[in-house]
Parts: sequence; C-alpha cells; structure tokens
Amino acid sequence: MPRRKPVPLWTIVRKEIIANLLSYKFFIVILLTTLLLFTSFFVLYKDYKGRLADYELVRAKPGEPIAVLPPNPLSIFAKGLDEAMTRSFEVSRIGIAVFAGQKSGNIIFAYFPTPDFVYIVKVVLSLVALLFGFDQISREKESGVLRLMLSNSVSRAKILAGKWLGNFLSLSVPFLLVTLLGFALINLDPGVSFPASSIGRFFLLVLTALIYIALFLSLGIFVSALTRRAASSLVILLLIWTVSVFVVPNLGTLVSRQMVDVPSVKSLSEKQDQVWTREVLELIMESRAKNGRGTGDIAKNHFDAINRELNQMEEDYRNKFDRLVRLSKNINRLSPAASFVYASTELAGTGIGEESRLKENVLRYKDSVLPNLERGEKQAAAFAYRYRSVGQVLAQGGLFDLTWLVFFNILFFALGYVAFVRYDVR
Amino acid sequence: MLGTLIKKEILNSVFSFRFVVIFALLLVVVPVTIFILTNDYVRKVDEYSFRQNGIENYLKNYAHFNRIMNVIMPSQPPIPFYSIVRGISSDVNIAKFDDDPLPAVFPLLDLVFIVGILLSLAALIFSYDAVSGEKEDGTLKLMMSNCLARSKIILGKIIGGTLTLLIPFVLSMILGLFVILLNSRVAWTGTNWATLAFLLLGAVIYVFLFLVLGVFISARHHSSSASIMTSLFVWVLLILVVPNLSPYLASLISPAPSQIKMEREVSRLTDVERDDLGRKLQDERLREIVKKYPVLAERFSEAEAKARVEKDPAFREAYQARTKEVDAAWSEANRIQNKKRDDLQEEFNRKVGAQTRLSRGLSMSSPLSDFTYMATDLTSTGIMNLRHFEQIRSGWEHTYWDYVQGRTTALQKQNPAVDWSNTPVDVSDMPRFQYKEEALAARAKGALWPFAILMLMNLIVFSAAYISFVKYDVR
Amino acid sequence: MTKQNPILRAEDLSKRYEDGVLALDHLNLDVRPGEVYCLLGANGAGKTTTINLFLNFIPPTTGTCYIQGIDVTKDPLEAKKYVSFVSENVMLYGNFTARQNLEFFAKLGGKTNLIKEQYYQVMRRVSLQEKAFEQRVKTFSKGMRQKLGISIAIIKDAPAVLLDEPTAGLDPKAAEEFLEILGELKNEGKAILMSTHDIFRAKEIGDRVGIMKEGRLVMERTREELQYEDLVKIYIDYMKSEPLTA
Repeated sequence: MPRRKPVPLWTIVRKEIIANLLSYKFFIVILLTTLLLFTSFFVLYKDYKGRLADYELVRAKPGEPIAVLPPNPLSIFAKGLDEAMTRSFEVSRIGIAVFAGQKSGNIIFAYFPTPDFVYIVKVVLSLVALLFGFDQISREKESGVLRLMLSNSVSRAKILAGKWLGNFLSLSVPFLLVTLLGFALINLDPGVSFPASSIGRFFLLVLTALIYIALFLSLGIFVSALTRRAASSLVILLLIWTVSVFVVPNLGTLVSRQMVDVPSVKSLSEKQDQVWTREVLELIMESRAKNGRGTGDIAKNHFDAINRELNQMEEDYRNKFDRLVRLSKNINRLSPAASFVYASTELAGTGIGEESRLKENVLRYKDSVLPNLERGEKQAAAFAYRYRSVGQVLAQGGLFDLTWLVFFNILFFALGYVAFVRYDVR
Repeated sequence: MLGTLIKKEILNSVFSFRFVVIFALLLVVVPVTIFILTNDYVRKVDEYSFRQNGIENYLKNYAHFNRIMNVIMPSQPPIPFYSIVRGISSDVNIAKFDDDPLPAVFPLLDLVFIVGILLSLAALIFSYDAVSGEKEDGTLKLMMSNCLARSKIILGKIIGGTLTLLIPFVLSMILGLFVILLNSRVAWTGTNWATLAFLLLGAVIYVFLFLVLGVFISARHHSSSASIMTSLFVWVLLILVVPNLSPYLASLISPAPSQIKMEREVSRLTDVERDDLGRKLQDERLREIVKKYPVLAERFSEAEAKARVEKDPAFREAYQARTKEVDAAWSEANRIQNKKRDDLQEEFNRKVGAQTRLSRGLSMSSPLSDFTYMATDLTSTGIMNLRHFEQIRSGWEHTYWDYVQGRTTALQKQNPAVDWSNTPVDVSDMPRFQYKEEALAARAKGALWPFAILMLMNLIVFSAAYISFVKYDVR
Repeated sequence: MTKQNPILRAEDLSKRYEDGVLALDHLNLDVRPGEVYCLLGANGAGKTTTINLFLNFIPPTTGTCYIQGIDVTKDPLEAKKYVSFVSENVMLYGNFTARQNLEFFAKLGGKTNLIKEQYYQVMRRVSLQEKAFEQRVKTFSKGMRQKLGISIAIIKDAPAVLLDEPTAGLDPKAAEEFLEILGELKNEGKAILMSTHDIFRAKEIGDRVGIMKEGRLVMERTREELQYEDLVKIYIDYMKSEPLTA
C-alpha cells in the first residue's frame, strides 16, 4: 500500500490566509492600517519639509560657531528626538545658547505623542497582531474545526506553524505593501533625499517592526491556546497589551527617577545663570577697583571661572542623566514596546543615544572653537556631525534590543506550542 | 423592573472574567501610579524650595540691578495635583542646552492617562457585547418575550454597566487617595478636594460615554466577534489617532512660521534693516542741516569736532543741531523698525494662536482630548495655567520694575554719578514672586467647554444607542 | 372565557422579508386552552417566523396575531403578559446560577415576590438535579439548560406557551422528560404552540399537527385522525410534492 503523503504546511497556511481575507476583522484591520500609515506618512512628510525649510534659514554660515543639524529624513518614520537634535546650538564665550529651532509655538503638540510610523506600529499594529492571534485556537475549537483537522494525519506542530505563518503573512504583506508604497511616494519628492545608508536603515526599521508584530501574534496564539473561550483570551491579551504598551514604559521612567537623583533642567539652568551673573558682577567690580588697568586678565579669569563651573555642572548633570537613562531603559525593557521604540529610533538616528552623543559632540565643538573666540577671531571651524553607523548603533544597545525582541518571539512561540500540544480539543 | 435589570447586569458582570481582570489591573495601577507621582511631587517640592533658597542666597550676596533678572526669573512651583495629573509641564525647557528628552519618548503615566486610555478600553470591553452577546446567547429573545419595553432593557444595560465599571474605579481611586492622605507632605485644601470631585465627575462622564458607545456598537451588530472589532477600531481612532494627528493637520490647514524663523526675521528688522534705514534717514537730515549750517559740510573727525565745539560757539550751535538731527534720525529708524517688529510679532502670535485654536478644536472631536483638556485645566496643569502663570509673572514684573526704579532714583539721589546697575544692593525688601493658583471658579469655567462637548457626545451616542436598540432585530 | 376561545390565533398572517423572501403566506391558525399544536416542516418553512410574529420580534406584512384576544402588533407589551417562550438552545446567563437565572426571568415575567423554595420547586418539577440549583449555568449541559428554559416558562404561568424547536439536540431521555412536562402544562390548560422537526414526538404529544412548506400550512391533522394515518408518510409526501396553489 502506498504511503500517503503528509499534509503540506502550505495547505494550512493557505487556509488561514483565505479565511482571513474573507473576514470582517481583516477588512477592519486593513482599513485601519492603511488609513493610519498613509496619513502618518503624509503628515510627517509635510512636517519634515517644513522643518527642512526652516533649516535653510538657520544653517550656519561659513565661519559662524553654530552647530545645527538638518532634520533627519528618517524622522518621517521615527521622529524620536529629532526636534531636540535640530535645535541650533550657538557657541559663544559664555557658553552655548540654544535656539528652539524648528519648533512651532502651537502648544497642543505637547499634549499627545507624535503619530509616526514607530508609534503606529508600537500601538496600533501590536493590537492588530493580537486581534489576529486571539481566537486562533479557541475559535476553531468552538466551531469544531480543530477536531476535524486533528482527525487527519497532521501534527499539532504543523497546524500551529501553519496558523502562525498564515496569519503573519496576511498581516505583514498588506503592512509591507502600504509601508513600501509610502516610502516610494516620499522618495518621488526630489526635496527629500534619503542617502543610501538611510535606505538600509529604513529597511532595518521595517524589519524591526515585523519582529515586533510577530511577537504579538505569537503572544496572541499562545494565550488563545491557554483559554477555552475567545472572549477570555481577548480580555487577557488586551490587559497584557495595555500594560506592556502603555503602563510599563511610562511608569518605568517615573520609577527610575525615584532612584536616580537627577536635578531638573530648571534647577540646572538657574544655577548656571547664577554663576555667570555673579562672575560678570565680580568682573565689573574688580575692573572698576583697578581703574580699568589689566581688565583683559580679569575678564579672562572670570570667563574661565564661568566655563569651569558650568562645565563641571554640565558634566555632573550629564553623568547623572546618563545613569537615569540607562536605568529607565533597563526597567522599560520589561516591555517589548520599549525595546522596539529604542531599537527603531536609534536605527533611524533619532534615539536617546544619538541625541546624547550629539550633545557630547557639541560640547567638544565648543571646547575646540572657544580658544578662537577668546582670541577674538571671527572665523570658527564648521561643526560636523556624523550619525553613528548602523554597526555602531547595533553594538551600542540596538542589537540587544533586537535580540530581546527575537527572544520574546521565540519564548511566546514555544509557550504557544507547549500550550497547544496540551490543549484539550474536546 | 428597571431595578431587576440593573441588578442582573451588575451581578452578571461582577462574576465575569473581564471584571476580575480589569479590577485587578486598576487596583494595582491606580495606587502605584499615585504613589509614585506623589513621591515625585514631594521631590519636586523639595527641589523647588532648594532652588528658592539658592536664589535667596544669591540675592543676599550678589544682588545688583543689571543681570539679576536672569536669576530671579519666576518659575512654576509644584502643584499639589501633580500627585494625580501631570498635564503639560511648564518645566520642559527646550531653550536650554540640557533638556530632558525622556518624556518625549514615553509620556508620563497619570490619572488622565489611566482614565483616558485604560478605563475607556475597559468600558468598551464591558459593553461591546451588551446587545450582540445576549442575542447570541438567546437571552435577548427570552427577555423580550416578556412584558418589557425595550427602552427599559437598554437603560438597564447602560446604568448597570456604568455602576459595574464604577466599582473597580472608585475602589482603586479610594486606595490611591489614601496614598495622598497618608503622605504628610501633601496637604490638600478643601478647594483641592472640590477640584478632584469635579475631575472625577468628568471621568465618570467620559467613561459613561465609552460604555454607551460600546452598547451602541453592539446594537449595530449581530455577533459579538464583529462588535469587538468595530469597538476596537473606533477606540483606536478616537483615542490613539485623532488627538495625535490634530495638531499636524492644523499646521497644514493653518500654517504658522516656526519660532526660529520669527527670531531671524525680528533680528533682521531690528539689526541690519534698522541700520540701513537709520543711515539713510541720517544722510537725508544731514543734507538738510548742511544747507542751514554750511560749516558742517567740512569733514572733521570726532576729536576735532569736540575741540572746535569748545572754542567756537557758532560751530557748537551747528554741531548740536547736527547731533539732534542724528538722534532724531535714529530714533525715527528705531520707531519704524520697532513698529514693523511689533506688527510682525503680532502677526506671528495671531497665526500661532489661530493654529493652536484649530488644533484644539480638531482634537476636541476625540473624547480623550476633551477629557485631557478638562482635567488639565481643572488641575492647573494645562494651557490655561500657562496663561495664568504668564499673567501673574508679568504682573510681578511690573511691580519689580517699579521697585527697581524707586531704588535706582534713591541711589542716584545719593550719588548722581553712580553706576546703579552694577552696584551691590540690599534687596531684602524686593517684591518676591508669588504663584497663586487660579480660583476654582475660573478653572471650572475653562473646563466647561470640553465638558459640554463630552455631554453633547454622550447625548448623541446615547440617542444613537437607544434608536439602534429599539430597531434591533432580535431574531 | 369559554374553553372554545382560542388563546393563540393567527389570522391571514404573512411575512415578506426585506430581501423579498416570502417566509409566511396567509397563515391561519389557532390554539385553544389545553391543546398542543405542533408545527412540522423543513428548515425555512416558516415555523420560527410564525413564533417570531407571535412574539412581535418582527412585524407582520399582513394579518394579525392574537394572544388572549389581544392584537400583538397593537399592544405587544400587554399581549406578552399572556405568553411564555422556550427557545431553541438558549445559553442563559453563564455567570448566574440556575436559581438566579430563574429568579431574573421570573421577575421579568411579573412574579416578583417568590421565595427560594418556590424556585426550587419549579426546578424539581422539571427534574433538574438538586445539586445544579445553585451551580453556574455555564457548566450546564444542553439538556440541563433546556430544562431550566422550560422552568422559566412554567414559573411565568402564562396561558400560552410558545416553543421553538425545544427538543433539538436533546438526548432521547431528556426529550422524553421534556414532553412529560409539556403534557402536564397541557393538562393545566395552557395553549401550547411548538415548532419541531421531530415527527414522532409531534405525533405523540400533539393534539393537532400542522405541516408547513414554503410559508404555507399545507396539512393539518388532529390526534384522532393521526391514529389511522402514518404521519411520516404524509410528511414525506408533502415534502416531495409541489405546494398547493391556494
């Protein structure tokens, strides 16, 4: 008797995809995703163009000791801290004056997070992935299809893999199409030029997003295999989702502030104002007492004192702040959403790491042009900043976050497998 | 009869799995958040008084009238409501080199966030299958086979659902408020508690809206799996998309120049352009004056002129006339350019104001924004407080400048040649900046609009739910 | 009211749905006190539509339903006081115990002041196991839920009882018990209208049996007539044949 060929995986994958394509859920989800991604691309593209136009106004003229970066084209997808990074830092003898840069006076911006690609993936697509996963096992159990499938010679592992793959494809293919189409449309504008490395970064960003989405799909299937009823599975998943997307990252930063004593920006700037007001006063008093003789030396002494104290404060603040950032990062990483945000913004060059590196560079730039300024020279070397390469980004935490996301994926899938194997199909 | 229906709704939900999950979540998240926020508030209070001490110390040792303004710049003291609402923080200081980018990455968790996001989702989870679920279970038909008006069923559902949802919310709030009460460093006044009562009322209205929305959606569907999809779709749009997109859309519809563009423009007007204009006006006036005093046609340096003024009274008269003309020319130039600058500033403010209003208006189509505006304005953590702060700040500034003028005239009376701006002075009698919270009535008035819109939305959704249910096909 | 006056009456009842399907075509029917009327027919023959019309779940296209002489369309709430309903495969409130479900529906049926023991009595009467009285209904089997469903109808104590496929999916023993209870109700003088697929039980319990096809009542037999005829044969014959044109 000839051996029957085992059921190919593709059969199950195809069944899943077709079942999805015809469902109301799929319709809603695709509508939502397409609508959101296109709106987000359009709106942030316009925002980028506006900031680019502003940059042309404020960019440093040759010889000006000003450090100002053009807006990062990848900020269309991951805005991150790009607004803070494109402020104009103007170096003078008394320190670095900062101009708010390409920021609008519209305070409503401060109320709600930016609806960029990263935000939409983080919040909406994770939810969508859960919606694809939440009833995978329990629904088929309720309708009896599961028993019917298992009555054939097909292993549970294959059913699970088929389900995962089928749902992942029906979720990620439309998502990828919309994203790539959006990217291509933005590329049509000659005013927005993505350097070759940016395109690589963009694809890495999309890959990160896919890993993140896959994670929630696996989680959805896992919980679905744990529960008998689709409704319970949905409630559990929404709970996990709100906690990991909203509660943990937003509370984590607050908690770490309790543990690391970082002075507020206000307190720092008040102290800085006090230092240099005091030194300038003393300078005037002393030069008056000396009747104007040797004022140059006195001035130099006092300016040095200002710089010394300010640098000291600056360094102190930066150290504490770095500790805060490290701690809050590690706490927040309990949630995959935080890991995703860290990985994607750093890849785009708009993350916390990049911003703090930029500031270090600005400080170094200040130290390098300060002697020129003190000598009264009008010309200063231009400020140049190179974003970290993808390799550096990955080495400095990016790879960790990606691995962490992959780990969550494997964990949830494995748990899902175990739960499904033990699932009571009756 | 209505009582029976409400009781059934409550009992049926209280024993449900979703109730347990939501209860557990709120019972943990609300007190923990309030606890952490309260600790953070206390730290802020400590830091604030430390900073004030630093300023006082500075004033004791180095007070003078030249640059002291930089040091005594008023700042917003921590508000007791920071224990529950953070709002837009006036501390964010993007104009300084060291800023704090963390809130930009992950916004802080506070009560507005918990109510706005978690509770609205919870309300939908409670109500998405209110009608469609009973239809699926066959209980709707069974109920309707009795002498029972549909309006009673839907009222029972809505009231029962609201009461059920209030149980975890109220209990977790009580726990959270205990955290505030037990912290000896946080002393809430009667007005504070009254404000909180208003805030909670707003929260209930907000949650009620989502509950009714869920009932409405479920009365448009015949299966609960479809109604959960629609519910989540609507929720995502209302909560996670509309508020965030609104300012961006507003900036497309009603553009306003960025601040930096404005700054550049102002400095061009009052710098380069003023100099050009000043020189032009000066030349014109000098050409005229030369006609009157031909002696001025000669070329002379500043020093020569000084020497001649001493010796030659006729030249002195001519030279004084010339100086007068030059001064007049420059003050004319300043006047014109300052006028231009003020016009520009006004135009800029107008545009930014228009955009802000539009953003606010657009975003108010989302209940979350309405609730956020209402909560932040009530608790002095919103836009209204920024305005209020600015108002008392400028009021204080006036009294400060009066004080400075009084002190400097006194100094000048003693010694006319004194460099008053750089002389150490005793400023212990200087008027200190005092932040005074806006009166509750004014805050409530500010919160009235968003509240009214929430009520209106409630009315619309309620009618829609009612009509849909009356027309619902129970088969 | 004399015994002869029907409690349930359909006069010239028609229903055409929005999609154009004529689900019920000029039906005339009455059920008297102490009488069980069984509606037989294939899926989509119009049995459930008839019951839905009696309960005013849908408005009729033409004709009228009367319950206890009250026009259902004109005063549905008043009419529903006189009818109790047992539906096919009702899930009830899973988080409630059997007694809580019964209590809730009893209150809806206007029985507000009953004590626990009275609920228990009704549940005993439908032979629900004693230990299930205070158990959550979500753990119940289909048969137990159906028993609870009929106890809901019993406790309302209305003169008319409508049953929509009450025995569908029940095991033979449960179905037998179910019919026994129905018999008791009949003896109490209730007018019972039941739609069913189950020809054997229809013959057993029905005082009259009607066969429906494509919205029409194509045949009606009394218990006496059926003693001499084979209902199964009649049923199959009617299913095969073209409908009579009226």
